Amino acid sequence: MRLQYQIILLMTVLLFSENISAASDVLLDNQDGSVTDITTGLMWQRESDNAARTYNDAKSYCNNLSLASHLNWRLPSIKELTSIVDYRSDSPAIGNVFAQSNSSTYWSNTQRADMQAESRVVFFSTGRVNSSFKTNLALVRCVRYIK
Amino acid sequence: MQIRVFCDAFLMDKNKTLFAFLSNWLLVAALLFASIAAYSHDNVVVIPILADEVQNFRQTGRVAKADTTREDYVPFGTQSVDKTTGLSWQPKDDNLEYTWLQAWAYCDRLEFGNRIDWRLPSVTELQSIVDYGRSSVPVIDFIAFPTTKSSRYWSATNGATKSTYAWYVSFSDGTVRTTDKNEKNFVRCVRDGRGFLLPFDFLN
Repeated sequence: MRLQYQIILLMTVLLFSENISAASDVLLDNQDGSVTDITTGLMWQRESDNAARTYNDAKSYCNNLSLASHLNWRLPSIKELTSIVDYRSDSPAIGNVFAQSNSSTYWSNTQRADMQAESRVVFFSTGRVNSSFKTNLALVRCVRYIK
Repeated sequence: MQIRVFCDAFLMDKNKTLFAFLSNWLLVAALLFASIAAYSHDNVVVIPILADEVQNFRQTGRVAKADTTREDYVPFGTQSVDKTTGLSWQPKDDNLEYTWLQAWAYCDRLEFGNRIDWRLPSVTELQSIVDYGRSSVPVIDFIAFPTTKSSRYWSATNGATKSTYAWYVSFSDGTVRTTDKNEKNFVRCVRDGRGFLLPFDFLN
């Protein structure tokens, strides 16, 4: 029944407001080393361990990560990773909730479709998106779906 | 006037009683909204809900944003509505390059699809239509966005430290960077209108 009420409520909202703006950065610190973004439904690792890894090492690091009593951590896609970039700030271009975030390069799991040897990265100094050879070193911030 | 509503995903769930009940209800609501939309715009309305997306929604609580595919865009009149973000996009740019200020003015003055509330997209909004899975250029859904150049497109986002710089998205390789506002780049405008979508899109 709860779902039913939810849908009725949403339909009412839909009726009266055509413009539902994308909610701004709503990031909740869960106090257990993780941060929840309720607008994207993603849970983030709050602090990177500041260890530079190759792409493959980064991937296995996330897959083996046990944090906030969850085991299903993974490397984020490039669009997931840029969803936490705060383009209003610089060095680091990320919200304060991600404590002591290093303004460095972070791996995403999105490989370049035209160059398989490269994967996408985000420079959290400014929020720039580029690609890097998988053998290069970069930092990691893991992610998981809330559910 | 023509109304087409694709709701094949619902038919998969006949065994789930509550869902079957709701889906009928949703279908009626969808048809109602589709007809309102068709009346007000006198255009084809297509509302595709794909089975695997509904499945994905149930498992994750959200529709995947990571990889855009052709089905992510719903032609709504003359615009392209992105089902995931709810943004309406100008499908074709005007093949002209503008400085950053001219780009603002262009979107501000744009009258298109009976709408005047077009604006320059933020860098995150513009990046949301990059298709990183594409190995050929431009890295964008070329059916929803024909005439896209493998070149830079302006965003409205200012550089955080240099006020003379602004962010752009390159559709040649999906990179996102800043450049001087006096440089001339292409422009694609956006507006916030959701169009008419099924309530599923509001649950994520």
